[in-house]
Amino acid sequence: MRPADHFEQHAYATMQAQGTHLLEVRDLRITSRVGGRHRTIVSGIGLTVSAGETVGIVGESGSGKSMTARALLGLLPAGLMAHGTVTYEGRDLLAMPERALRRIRGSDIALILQDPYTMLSPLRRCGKHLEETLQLRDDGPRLRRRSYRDEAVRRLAEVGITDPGVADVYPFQLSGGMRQRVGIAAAIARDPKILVADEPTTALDMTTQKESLGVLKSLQESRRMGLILITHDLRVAFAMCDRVYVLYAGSVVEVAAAPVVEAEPLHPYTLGLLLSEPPSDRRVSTLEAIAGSVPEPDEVATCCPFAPRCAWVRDDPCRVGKPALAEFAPSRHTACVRIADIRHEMSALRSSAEHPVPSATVAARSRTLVRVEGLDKVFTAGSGRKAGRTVQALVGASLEVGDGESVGLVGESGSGKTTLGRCLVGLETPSAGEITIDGVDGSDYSALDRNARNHLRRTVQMIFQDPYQSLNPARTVDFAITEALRARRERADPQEDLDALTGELLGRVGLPADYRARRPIALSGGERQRVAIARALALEPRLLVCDEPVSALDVSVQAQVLNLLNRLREDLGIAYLFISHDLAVVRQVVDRVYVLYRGQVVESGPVGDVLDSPKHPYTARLVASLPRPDTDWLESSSTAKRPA
Amino acid sequence: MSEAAAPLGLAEERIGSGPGLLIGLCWGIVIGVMVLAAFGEWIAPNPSAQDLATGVAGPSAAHWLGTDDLGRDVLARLIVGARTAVLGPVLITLGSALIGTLLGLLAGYVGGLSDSVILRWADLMFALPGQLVAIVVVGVLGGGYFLAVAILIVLSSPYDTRLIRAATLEQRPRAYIEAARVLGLPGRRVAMAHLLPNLVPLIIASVFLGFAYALLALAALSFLGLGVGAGTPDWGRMLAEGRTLLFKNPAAALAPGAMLILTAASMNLVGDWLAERLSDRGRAR
Repeated sequence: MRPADHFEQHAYATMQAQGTHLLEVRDLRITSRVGGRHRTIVSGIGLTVSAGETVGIVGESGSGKSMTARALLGLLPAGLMAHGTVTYEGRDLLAMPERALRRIRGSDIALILQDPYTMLSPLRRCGKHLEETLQLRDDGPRLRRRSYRDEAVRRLAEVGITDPGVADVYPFQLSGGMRQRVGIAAAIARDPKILVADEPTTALDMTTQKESLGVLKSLQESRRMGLILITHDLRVAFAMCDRVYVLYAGSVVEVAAAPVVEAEPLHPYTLGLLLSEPPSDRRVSTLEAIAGSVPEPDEVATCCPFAPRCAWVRDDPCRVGKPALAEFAPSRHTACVRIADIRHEMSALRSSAEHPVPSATVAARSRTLVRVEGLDKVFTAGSGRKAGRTVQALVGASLEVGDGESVGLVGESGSGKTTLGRCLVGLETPSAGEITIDGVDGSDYSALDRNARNHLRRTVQMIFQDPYQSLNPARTVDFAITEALRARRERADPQEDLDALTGELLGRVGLPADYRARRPIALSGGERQRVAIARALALEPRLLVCDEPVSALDVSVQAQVLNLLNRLREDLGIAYLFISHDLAVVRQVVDRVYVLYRGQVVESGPVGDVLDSPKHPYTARLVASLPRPDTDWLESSSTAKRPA
Repeated sequence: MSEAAAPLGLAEERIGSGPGLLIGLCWGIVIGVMVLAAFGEWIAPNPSAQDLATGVAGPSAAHWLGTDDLGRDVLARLIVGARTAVLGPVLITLGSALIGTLLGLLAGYVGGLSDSVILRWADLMFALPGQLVAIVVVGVLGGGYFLAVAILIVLSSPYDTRLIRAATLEQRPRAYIEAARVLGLPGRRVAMAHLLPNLVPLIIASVFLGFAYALLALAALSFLGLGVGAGTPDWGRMLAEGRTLLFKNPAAALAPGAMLILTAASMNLVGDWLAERLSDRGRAR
């Protein structure tokens, strides 16, 4: 639709025309004080938003992006303080008393939060949420009681909820995407000039994310609102935003028009983010992960915040002082002080990483390791005579995993993909159907004798989605892995052997041996997931069921873990059942893929074929929902119809 | 440059400051009473020595809190009485926590029939008026300090059982428990080596909070003459014996009462504070 140069001109024009900004943030710093110790969360960022402009704040966890959003509305959690200026209509919001700020919140600047499941009061009907906000308007005409309801229904229609009955239902009766829409409608009910959206679609499914983003975008365009979109997902930012601020460890490292950043990032961190994002249209041999993890802003207060992880770092000038954001080219700002020297190296790296490797061709089919046939699983609420509502999670699902083969299982939440994985490791017992693992009937673990069950445990292991939950917070890394090693071996090994094996396993997942004394609280998300992988590997399984193993991780860490999984498979010849909602991630890891929809396998085949030329309409819709940087991505939403 | 303080400065203070003066004071009282319980007889070697010439008397230089009707020094008896005030409640809370933890884990982790049986037993115990049952049973069996302690262990264990069962049910679906099950570990090991360590903060807090209840319950039995034997220095008993002396030496009645209240209240506040601190520690997120 709009060509890149138009964007550039537009961004350039808004940057030049000082004073036309709706909101201007200068040198915003956010600090906390805990037990007398001061901590920096955001160290001096500036940003502007104009009417009708969509500005993206992109950053990983720990970058301070959510706190920035909250600071703009004076909604920082207790114990956090904001310094600097946030100018709105000539007034400094940070200096404003709470009473005055309350008049601005909602009516001038509104906020949408991440979690659609908690942002609506569960005891109020959806319409009431809107009516309540509408009644608070002090500028508009006072309406009659009846008219408020009509207005609420009209507002819901605006966000694409055409059924007036939705106003009379409670939030828990709606799906996540519908709730997010009601939340959006309530947030903009008083026609704010600026909308701050903090990860508005992170908790949603891919297809729902696309629909919600489309609603946001069209509302923003029709009302000429300023939209500040906070996201960790570069793909979403590129699809939605005019201008992008890349935030890292509490500082802005790059600002430019979205298509410009996408075409040529001018900061090694932005480049790293782009490269660690798994491409959805091809498979790459290794993702260019950024080593390490995001530091605390205070650890990098006197040098370039990215210096500890940067491949191009030089002591001088990178570590002599904190680089300021400078204009490198018209309306392209970067905080990299070496950009003039390394610009060409960076683009060379980018183009070399573009080369795809062919999706691993499925060679002669190896021996079948796991066969699942006609699996049904019905969940019943309550039990016995009180048995109530039933949910059928799996409807005759069948799949096969060969020895050493990597198989993907994709689908949205509620598709039954996790249930299938849990059935394989005996955490759920299927209602009907057969699971054969290495020649043993694994349909019901509890019906097996001890030896057979132990055999299955050593054949199939699982990695869980949330590394923050899957490690015992009270136990050390050493305890977790040693215990798994003991579970593998029949007789007790001498302690020295266990120590050596633990060290070897940690090395295999890329962790230093001295991590064994740590508890999960002292590990980052990526490190936790590595420990969880090491624990599963301790049993020397032949199949690893990976249930969304990277969905809780930041994109740079996600790339590290995906690379690790690929390397482990090469080294150990282990098979994967890789469960994920993210098609781009799946493409990097698996050979074959099964698409699950409402408990049924609707399509399967080599991953490249399925994703490039989907046969089933549901698969097509999934593929279409992957964010693309071109602007017609959002508009194509109405064309893809839901399959019956 | 302007500065916008976050709203709710009060909460900030709670995060920012340490234990605070009140909690420090409570810790001081708790530790002080513990020291008296351990070394009371060493500080006041002869609590039953009588000064019959004086009889009951108000506070003086020789007897800081005066004497009771048998001419015994109230302060000395107060100091030595700390032992029964601490020992019993410690036994009661630990015993009850032990029973409650085992039964709670069994009910919550294993579930099924054991859950039903344990819950019905707990319901039955809740239906009984605890203090009354204690009075009747101890009275019928002839009294005695350790009998009272044993009865109170049985009476307070259903509360701990319920608490631990609820916490077990909360932890059980967590991924780290499932991960341990997928490793093929036996249920007993998953419960004891994985689940239990995560309940320890809760158990500690519950022990502290239960202490105050046990202290008062035990003192009440002693007050009624059902706890310690006659003549033993004990706060509950001193309270009963001092009643008649309220106008001759108010300290004889008020001092043990004040000690009971101070100790119980301090334990409660310390328990609350510990519960708040411990529940945040090691939390996954």
